[in-house]
This record gives sequence, C-alpha cells and structure tokens, in this order.
Amino acid sequence: MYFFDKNIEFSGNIACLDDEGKAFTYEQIWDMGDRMTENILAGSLVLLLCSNNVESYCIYMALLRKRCPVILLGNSVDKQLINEMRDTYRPEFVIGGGYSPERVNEHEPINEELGLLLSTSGSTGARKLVRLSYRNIQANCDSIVEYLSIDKNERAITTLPMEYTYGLSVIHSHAAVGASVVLTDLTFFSERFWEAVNDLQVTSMAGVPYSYEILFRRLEMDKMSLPYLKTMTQAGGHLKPDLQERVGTWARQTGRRFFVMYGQTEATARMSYIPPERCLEKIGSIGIPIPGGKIEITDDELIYYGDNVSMGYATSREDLTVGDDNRGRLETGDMAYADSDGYFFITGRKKRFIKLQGKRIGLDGLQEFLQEEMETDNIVCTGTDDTGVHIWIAEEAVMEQTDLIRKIFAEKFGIRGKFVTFNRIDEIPRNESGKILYNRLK
Amino acid sequence: MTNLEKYNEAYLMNFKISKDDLPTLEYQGIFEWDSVGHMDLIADLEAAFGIHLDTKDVLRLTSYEKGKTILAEYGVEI
Repeated sequence: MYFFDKNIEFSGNIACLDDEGKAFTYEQIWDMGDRMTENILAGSLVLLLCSNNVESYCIYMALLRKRCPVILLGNSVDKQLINEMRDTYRPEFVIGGGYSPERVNEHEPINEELGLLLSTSGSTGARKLVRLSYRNIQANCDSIVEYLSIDKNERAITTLPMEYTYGLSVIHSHAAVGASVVLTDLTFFSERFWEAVNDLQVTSMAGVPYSYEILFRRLEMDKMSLPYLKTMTQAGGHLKPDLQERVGTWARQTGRRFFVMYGQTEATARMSYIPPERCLEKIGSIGIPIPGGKIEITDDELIYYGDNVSMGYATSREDLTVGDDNRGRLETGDMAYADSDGYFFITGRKKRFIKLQGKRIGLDGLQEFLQEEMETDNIVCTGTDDTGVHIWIAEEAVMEQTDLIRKIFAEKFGIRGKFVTFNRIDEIPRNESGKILYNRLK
Repeated sequence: MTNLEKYNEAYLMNFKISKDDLPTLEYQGIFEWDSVGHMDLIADLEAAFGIHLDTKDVLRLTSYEKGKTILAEYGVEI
C-alpha cells in the first residue's frame, strides 16, 4: 500500500481545510475524489490543472489511487502551454481549471511504474517533464516524514504551488501520516492568510528563499505572535547567509525548528537537509543526505543516490513507455564539496540555469524562443540570479523590439521588466563550429 | 514633485501601466502586482516618503486608493 491509498486508520482524521476553516476528513476526500474522477478509467494518463484548493487535492489523490499517471500543471498557466502539453503527451483526460473530465485521446501504452509527471520549469514553456514512479514519491515521502518527524497532529498551510515539487512534497508528507493541510492560494501579503495560520492552528510553513525575504525582511515575522507554528522549512535555492542566521536565531530563541533543505524535481523533491540544531553552525550548507539517500562528489559534481531518483525525463508521448533510465543515480548538475563533518556546500551550476525569485529559468529556452520569435540568430541570452536575464543583440532591427521582448517576457514567462537588460553588440561571439561563446558576453 | 506625483510614480515605475489604470488598481489585479511587485512597491513608497510601514499596513495596502488612506495615517497627505 502506498501513502495515497485509503488507510482506514485515517478515515476520521482531518485531511484538509479550506482557508475559511471548512474541514474535510480523509473519508470525505476519498469519496469526493472518487466521485470527481468517476468518468476517468483507471490507468489513464491525465492532465490535471491544479490550484491549492480542496477540489484539486481530492482529484489528485484520487488519480494516484486509481493509478492514473498525472501530468500536474498550475491552472493559471498559459493556454498555449496547455495545448502544447496536450499535443505532446496526448493525455486521455484533462481535468481541473474549468475542464470537466472528458476523454480527449485514446488509450496508449504507458509504463506501469509511472505515477507523476512534473515540469522542472513551468514558466519557461519547456515541455520537458520529469518521470516519477509511485516508488519514487513513496520513498521521498518516507524520508521527509522521518527527518521532519511529521505526525498526525501536524498541520501545514500551502505557501507554494501544488504543481511545484516542493509544494507537492508538503501535501504528500502530511497525507502519509494522516495529518492535515490548509489549502489556500492566499499569499503572505494577505491578512486572511495570517488569520488562517492562527485560527486554524497551523504548525508548519514552507518557503523558498524569496518567501523568507518577504517573511523576515518585510513582514518581520519574528515579531508576530504565532502560537501554533512550530516548524519552518526552506528549499528551492540558496538562502542568503544573513537571512539563514536571522531565521535560525529566531527559531532557536523561540523553541521552533528551522530546516534548510536541498532538492530537485529529478529527485522527486528532496535530497538533503540541515538538522535544525546545526542550522546556525552550518550556514550556507545544503546539509546531509536525507534518510535513505547518499551523496558523492564526482569531478566536483554532486551525485545523489536513492529510491527517490526519478525514472528520467520525457519529451514525447513515446517516452512514457520507457522504464527507469536513472536506476537510482542522479547527476544533479550542481557543483559541490563536503566539509570535514560531511556537510555539503554547493558552489555553482553546471549548466545554464538561473533562478529569479525562486523560479528556475532556462536561458537556453528563452534564447530559443526569442530567436524563433524574432526570426534571427543574432539574439542570445545570458544571466545571473542577481542581475536577471541579459539579452545580447547584434542586429539593429531587433534592438528596436526591446519593448515587445519585455512584454513577451512578462506575459509568457512571468519575468518582470526590471530583470531584463539589453546590450547592443557588433556580432555574437562564436567558435568555428558556430557554438556561442557565452563567456565572452560580459 | 507633489506627493500625488510621487505616489503615482511608485506604481507607474513598478507596474508599467498607464495613469488611467491607477484608480482601479488592486493587489493581484494585474500580473505585475503580485507578492514580488508588492515588496518593490512598498519599498519604493517608503523611500519616496521617508517612512517605514508597519507589517499590518503592508498587509492592508491592497489597492491604489487604500494606499492613500494608509499613507495619510503616516502624515503623508496625497
């Protein structure tokens, strides 16, 4: 039995609540989910357009129970991306986001282990998905429950999108022990969010680095009265050292636990964590491997081993018939080293990805898109987490389109204008085989 | 620059909208006024008027019009 299957011991426990406090027991959400998915045949590939609400929760859990592999997308994504996903993966059913569950494609063969398909960078329009097996999500969930010591009395609140692997891991790990989750799309800047945290007695909260910028630098969370909140977790990128110190100090002084963690969608969600008692001592570290996991450094790259390592990627419907490519070994693409206590530290990224406000942005994806849109090779992207996307243009006509590019970036990729800068150059530096020499663009 | 001009400037700079959009502008009403935009807006308003907004007012500032009322409580008449 997997954690999402009906566990009779949990029947009467509260599984989830909406932000107005309406509570649903496990038995209720099982029944609701069964009903909402009754037209969907077991074993079908389903595209679920989700948001942080009770309906999405019920449907998602029901699809896992019915062994319907789920492609999870946020229901606010671009219509075009939804259509591209539908064309690429030919899901048999589309549900959520205004779609009543209707059969849209015929059944095609699919790998039996496959349970969940997540996008690694939902915003940049990449259609590549990570293939996760039922065993992957169970294994990662078990590890997380163990090191966070989650029990049935815990109550989380959604602070991250459900389709984002970290947000989903919060839902999984609470469902696994019969605990509860408050499901809401309210943000930290909403008074109702904070009312829900206290009125509904929320015990834990998750955040990416930018969440902590908001929570501590702006909202001065360390001055709030949050009597039920016991645990804070952080993942999704590198937290600035002074902020880790501030949050860690607050946690220590108020008897709370603060977990700094590291993961990737390719490892279901989580690979390492800092035990909270060492948080202040190991600032800047990603910690030690989660229970059941192992980390090695090979040629400076962090290699992770564990049952939570995904089966591989998919870029086509046919890829969904393929078995486990990775066999429990993941090359993370992160460069790292270990200190003498066995704590790991990341030094940089191997490939061309940057992170803006917690969102992973693929520079190659942006560049490809721009080249297509502008019908020229004379436009390339570089960038850093701190300065955003730099666009290099070697063509006057394109230089006149900068306003349009900003607009596209905002609307299509959610990258705000101030994180886009333009540079006019004479020509794109390339080597003799035509490969762009990015290191010359500085 | 008048207080109103400074006030408007903070919105216009952050959200790339036109002046006509201001009166009906609300938090999460447009793509750019999300959590991130809110952080930047508040910082710019604080800098423009030399004030520091309390957490409760950061949460209460949910629209362009509401912001005027809140700033008045800090002695800034728009």
